[in-house]
Amino acid sequence: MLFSSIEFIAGFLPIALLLYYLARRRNFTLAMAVLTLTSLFYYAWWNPPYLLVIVLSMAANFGASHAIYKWPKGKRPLFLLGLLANLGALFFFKYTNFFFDQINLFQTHDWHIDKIILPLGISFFTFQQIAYLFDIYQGKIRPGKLLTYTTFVTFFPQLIAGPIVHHSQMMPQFDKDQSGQFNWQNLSVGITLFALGLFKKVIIADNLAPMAQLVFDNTHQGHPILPIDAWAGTLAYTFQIYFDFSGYSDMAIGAARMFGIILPLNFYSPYKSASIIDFWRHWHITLSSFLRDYLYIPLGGNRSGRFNRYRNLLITMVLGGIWHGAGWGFVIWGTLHGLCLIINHAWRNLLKLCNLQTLQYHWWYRFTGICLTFLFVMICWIFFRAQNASDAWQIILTMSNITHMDLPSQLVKDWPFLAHWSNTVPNALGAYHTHKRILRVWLPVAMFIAFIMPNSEQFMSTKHHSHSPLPQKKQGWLVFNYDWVCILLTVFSLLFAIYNMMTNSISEFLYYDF
Amino acid sequence: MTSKKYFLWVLGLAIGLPLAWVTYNLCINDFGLWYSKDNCYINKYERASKYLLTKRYIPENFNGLLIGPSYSDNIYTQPIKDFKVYNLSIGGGNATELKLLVESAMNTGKFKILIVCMSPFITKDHGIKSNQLTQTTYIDTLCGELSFKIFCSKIAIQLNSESHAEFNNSQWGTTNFQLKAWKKTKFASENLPYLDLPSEYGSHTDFVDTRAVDQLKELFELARAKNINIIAYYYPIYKGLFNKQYGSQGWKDYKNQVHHVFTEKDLVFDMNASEYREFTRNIDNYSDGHLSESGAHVFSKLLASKVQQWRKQHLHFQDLANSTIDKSH
Repeated sequence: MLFSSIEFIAGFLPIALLLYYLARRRNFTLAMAVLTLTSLFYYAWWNPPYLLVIVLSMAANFGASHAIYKWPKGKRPLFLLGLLANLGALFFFKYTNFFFDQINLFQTHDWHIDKIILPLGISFFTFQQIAYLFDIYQGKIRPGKLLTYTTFVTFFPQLIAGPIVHHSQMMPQFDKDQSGQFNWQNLSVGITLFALGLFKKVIIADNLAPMAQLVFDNTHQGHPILPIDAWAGTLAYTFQIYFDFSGYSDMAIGAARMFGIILPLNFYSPYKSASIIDFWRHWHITLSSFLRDYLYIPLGGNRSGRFNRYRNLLITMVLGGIWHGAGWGFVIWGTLHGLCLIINHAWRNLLKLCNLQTLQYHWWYRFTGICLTFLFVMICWIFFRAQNASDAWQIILTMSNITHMDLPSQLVKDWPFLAHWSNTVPNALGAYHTHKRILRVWLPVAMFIAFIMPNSEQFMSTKHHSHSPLPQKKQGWLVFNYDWVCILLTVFSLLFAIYNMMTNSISEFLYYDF
Repeated sequence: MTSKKYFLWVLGLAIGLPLAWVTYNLCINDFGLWYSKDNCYINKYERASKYLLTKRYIPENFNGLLIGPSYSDNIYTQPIKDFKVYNLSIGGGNATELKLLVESAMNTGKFKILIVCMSPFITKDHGIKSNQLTQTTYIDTLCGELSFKIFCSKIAIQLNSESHAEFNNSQWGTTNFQLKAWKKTKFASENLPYLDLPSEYGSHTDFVDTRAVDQLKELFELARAKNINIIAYYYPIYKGLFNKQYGSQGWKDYKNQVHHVFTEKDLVFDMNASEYREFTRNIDNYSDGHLSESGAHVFSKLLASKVQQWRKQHLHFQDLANSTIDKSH
């Protein structure tokens, strides 16, 4: 069941809320039990047999956490066993097919295995549980109660595609008698956040998707594309993935808030970042935090010299890339980001050495930084989206061919002044002609929201604060209030999105695949 | 405002606004979908409108259909006195789309006559070209984009900012696009190059899509199975254009490829035959390849007289057949 589906919005969510608050009036434990059961129902809706996967995973991790805590002498082998079991399950479901495909490349005997269906959200709930086991192993926390634990893992707003919640943020909320009480503010803030997220996903991301698909599919099928089409397709995907995922996160945070639960912040205007270091502080924040706390720091972090720091960064980012999926595109994507992070750190060191740190406060430095970061991130998304590395390379080559200004005739017809400095060619791909509305409306709207508008957290800052590792959050120039402007904004977002859901085919969230 | 008031307003408007809109559209019943209506006019969006009208309005009010592409869109069917014929032609309509419309109308309607405007344009391709001919259009009339667009169009008409003359006779399905300002240009020989087909299509004879012809055949077989009589005419093409685009041999070739869809029982006449020379040579009958307003009137009368003639003959044969049956008894 997708957040952006009628059955979720008009069926599951209101019923779950009603049941939860009815139970909450009786007692807290019953409410948590209702929340767990509704969450399991939500998960089973997709593929009932796979409910077993998440139940077994929870049972094993819960058992392991208690065993580690109660048996200090054997905690290391127990932890390693738990870790291996988690990673093993993840590897089996996510990477087995890819692994055998790679083996088959290097040998004559063809090892055939059927396509293994990836259980929804396995990457997310596995990481959450690894973090939990790790912190118990390190003695930072004590194992919680079974009901608290199951609610923490299965809580449906974050179950499928994050944010990757940390037990330290969530379990106290599921453990306190005071939390989750009926509160009009929770409902108001929750529905507004949910509506904004739905708008981002259904109206912006889904409307950009055809442009990206057209360019990437045509490249894969070997059809020639024009440089302008390649740029448009890549740009469309760059914004599609942002609005898709940040829209999902907003919906998750909003839905959770309706239950009185605060989820962590996952996006904070990443495309406004002036460096790649900044970008990773604002993009998929919960994944970055997880990788930092449970991979980068255990690897040594920045404690043992510059070389080791860079090495750790690269390893972390490559593994972060692989976490997204089984494919060389993800490896390249992670590696590129890792290398760019290294360069960015080295640059900062250089500035420090030359005593030029004040440069970063100049508007032009920041502006150049934003442009370069955005350009780099956009190029990297090509590897992330393309079906294989050669397709990605083909698109990059086409994009780089900007000196050869071939423009589709339809574009030149609409803007004749372009004819003076370009060659007019027939609409070979037809991208401009068929996706005029995307280029003229949705891309500019997406750019305006991503670069100019305050983000959801800034907008809601008067009434809502997600758990966030970011030091200081500025209030946006447009803020949420209980007034008619916000009522109309919320209602418009909801209705416009629902209307689009009814008339267009609904596409899954991109991060459901990861 | 309190958070409680805020939430209740959001919830109320999110549920109330669509409900109010649906109720309004149910009451207005633009396409006669929800209760019987005597006159349903088209306001805009001819394709979607005609598709929706086939659901109830046409079957309940008419016993004959005229189908074809835009060439027959402006034909008046009122002169046909023996039957009440709805002009179900759609701009750019091909065999698949016309079949879909007729099938939809035949689902509930009892029709006696199907008049077909045969033109290479209905057999040049197959498949549904627009997304307006689907079941979602049905929902669209209650709360979708179409309902908003039609509402806005009605307001524009009220404010006189949009010409509506083309739909004055649309309760019979006639869409007189010639009355649109931009179409008022007189057909002239210098317009001929404009009417040439793009070179990549080749000549008219080359683009008879066999699947489209098959679908036309299926449609006629279905009509015959429901005892619907078929009258077809080949669209009268302006003589100058006819010679330029087809020539007599090209036209013969085209007809050879499509004519097998008819049987002996059907009445088929070719308006490009020499007997209709007077009509096809008169430039006043044309605007831009389509029939002009006066041309449409002349042709409509001609068609009505053909139908009347056929009706008399048909009745005569039927009487003969009946009397033979009576005698045998």
